[in-house]
Amino acid sequence: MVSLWLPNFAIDRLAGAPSPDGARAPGRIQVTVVREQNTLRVAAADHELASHGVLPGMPLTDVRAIWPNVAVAFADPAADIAALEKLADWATRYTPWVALDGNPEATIAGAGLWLDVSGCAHLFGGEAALIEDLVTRLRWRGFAARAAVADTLGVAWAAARFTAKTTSLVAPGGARTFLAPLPIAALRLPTTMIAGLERLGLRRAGDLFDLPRGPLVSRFGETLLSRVDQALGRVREPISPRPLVAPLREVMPFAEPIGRAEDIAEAARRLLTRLCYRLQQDELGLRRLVFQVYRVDGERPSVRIGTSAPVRTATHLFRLLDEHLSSIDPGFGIDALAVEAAVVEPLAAAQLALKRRRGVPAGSLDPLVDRLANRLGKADVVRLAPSESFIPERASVSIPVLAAGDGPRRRWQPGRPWFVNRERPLALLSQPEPIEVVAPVPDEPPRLFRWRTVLHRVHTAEGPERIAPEWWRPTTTTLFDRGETRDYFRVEDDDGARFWLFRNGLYAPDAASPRWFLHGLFP
Amino acid sequence: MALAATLQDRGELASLPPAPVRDRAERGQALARLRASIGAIERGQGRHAALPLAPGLDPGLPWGGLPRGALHEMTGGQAAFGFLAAVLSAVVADGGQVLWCQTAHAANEAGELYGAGLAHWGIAPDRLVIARARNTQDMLWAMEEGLRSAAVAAVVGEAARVSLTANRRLQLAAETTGALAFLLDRLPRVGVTTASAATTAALTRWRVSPARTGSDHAPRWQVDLDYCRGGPSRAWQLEWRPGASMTHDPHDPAYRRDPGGLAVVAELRDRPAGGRAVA
Repeated sequence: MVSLWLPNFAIDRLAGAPSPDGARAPGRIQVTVVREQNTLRVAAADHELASHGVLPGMPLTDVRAIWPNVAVAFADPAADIAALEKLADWATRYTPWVALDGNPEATIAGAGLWLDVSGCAHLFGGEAALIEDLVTRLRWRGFAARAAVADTLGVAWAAARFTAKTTSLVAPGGARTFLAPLPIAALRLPTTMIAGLERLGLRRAGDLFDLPRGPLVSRFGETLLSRVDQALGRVREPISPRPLVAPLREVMPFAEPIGRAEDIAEAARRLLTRLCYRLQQDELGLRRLVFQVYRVDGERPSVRIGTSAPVRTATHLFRLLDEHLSSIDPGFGIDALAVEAAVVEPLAAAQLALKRRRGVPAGSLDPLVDRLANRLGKADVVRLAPSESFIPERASVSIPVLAAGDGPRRRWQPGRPWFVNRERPLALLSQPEPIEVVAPVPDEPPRLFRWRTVLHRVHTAEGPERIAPEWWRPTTTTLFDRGETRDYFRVEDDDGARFWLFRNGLYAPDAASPRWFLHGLFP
Repeated sequence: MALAATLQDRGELASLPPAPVRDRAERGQALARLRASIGAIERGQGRHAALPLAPGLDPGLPWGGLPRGALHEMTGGQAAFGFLAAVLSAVVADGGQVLWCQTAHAANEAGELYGAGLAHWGIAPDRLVIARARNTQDMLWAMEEGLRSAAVAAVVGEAARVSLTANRRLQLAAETTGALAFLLDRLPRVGVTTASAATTAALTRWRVSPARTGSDHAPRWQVDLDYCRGGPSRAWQLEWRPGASMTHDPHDPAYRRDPGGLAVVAELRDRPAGGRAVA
């Protein structure tokens, strides 16, 4: 177990990486502040100021009295968490099991991460070398960091924070002797509890180990002893790793950072071939793929790809990915690439066709639809499906082909019947367009109408087809959908062009005359 | 002949031993055979059967129907859409899938495809995939992907005008798989549509204009075959009627068996071959 402690995370994050000669950039943030009852108080201070006695909670005016030119920024806890999560993503270069050190009531400032390096340490030359590497890389990026390895989370946590060295290693089985001389705070306890224990004269962690458990629990609750037990390894303490690591994942690290598009494409092709081989072994097909790029500067851009049906053909997946490869910014170079099957579905092995008949469209639509949707956008490759409504614009809905699995209503099912037994136009305007008409009252079709500045003289008309509003739906404020009865007419003008018009509402003696709209075009 | 020229350039024809020629008649036959085979290689024609349109119309086309594996252009607003829908219903009746590519502009101006209407025309929407592109370039890309995929029987693209290069790419893509490719211009236009004089790589170009319906209100159009490679341009008046047992339930076997059809009302007149006459 590795505990990583970043004592000045909030400040280091804002300050950025140091220049090679170690000089401090002018204007670098030294203090973050929070507003507390109209007073600006220090939330965190950098190492230099802290050594001069600037502590969290101090009013900013006091700090300014000592350091008139101090550079100040407001604390932003949300951004701190986001930055820490990014750092946790970066730390997955050591192990997939990385968790944020979420211990809000602990008294120690700064931020922390847990890394479960079981089974990973040998890849970096052992535990000591691993944490040395971790701390060094963080220092290059401008973070003061301390790391410790121990059997349990509790001991690693204490070792990172309560030893003077930047890296420390607690030998297996040495938890008890290591913890005993440390102060009570090393047990990850809340501030109030520490004060209570010190009032009783219990100042060292070792003081607690042999005390009778009953009175301690009745006085301080269960937290105290469970922390002791966790630290000594009597109770297991699991960590929840942050991103769920998909089990189907292929990684390709590079000896030297790469940046050329051809290299990235070739690496992607090989990774996909490896991944598809594993999918084939497990009889699985891929629905969503994540292509992860590990850049030298710690950024992790990624590309996501969805497919309409389970797929495990490397060439097909590569064509989908290829569309997006050009959008990847390699920055100063790429350390490693990974592909991950984020969503998989069972896909049985299929017999390949022995011979394809000529002239007959072979193969399914899925590869085509995937390619279209990945370039044009998921929402832009659609099928039409019926919907149970007599209102024309509601009777046909378009459903994205890739939206499968998002609830039964949004899922496209073939072969559902259409609830229309009259002729309908082939094209429906996305919104009915108002037209000027000359029409006799009350129920006659128009004699003349003007649509998009062109005057049409009606030669023949058929109708009305009366469509009543659906009272169970809320009315809207659009011009044509205010819960009024519509009378539809099919009209043909003198040239033979055919239109679908409707009158929105009925004539009433003491009301404004209803408006006419053109809704569709018959061929 | 282009192929023969390239072969000659490469020196491959020159290395062939000269064929012994006995007499004039035999030489003529051999030349005709060679020309036919080179033509077939160059154009990929004859590999894909033609799609029959209407009994009175098919004999007027050199292929005896609408040739598959080729690009066809159709202009003329909503009437062209109707004619194309009638053609597509025949494709769908054969069990084919259709990819419809459009730009947002076309959908806004000329209306969005309406499932209920298409179902009535015998184009079951489960056989239709619509791809909406942001611009013509993306739309042409989608069309070409569809044509090369061998998964669809017909690909429709909505564009008023595309470059000759794009046109030729579509024609070549259609030849590879034998799918039907259509370029449809259904934007409503003011005034009379005239034949376009632009050169094209398409095999046919159709101009459709609405005609007054008869007593039964079946849709009727005047269809001008403005350009037809290897055949004269002609004009017909066509009518489309739904099949007698038209049904809207896809589980009913009659749904696909009888999709209705086109019928020739009148053949207007023969026009000179290659004519670009204005109606």
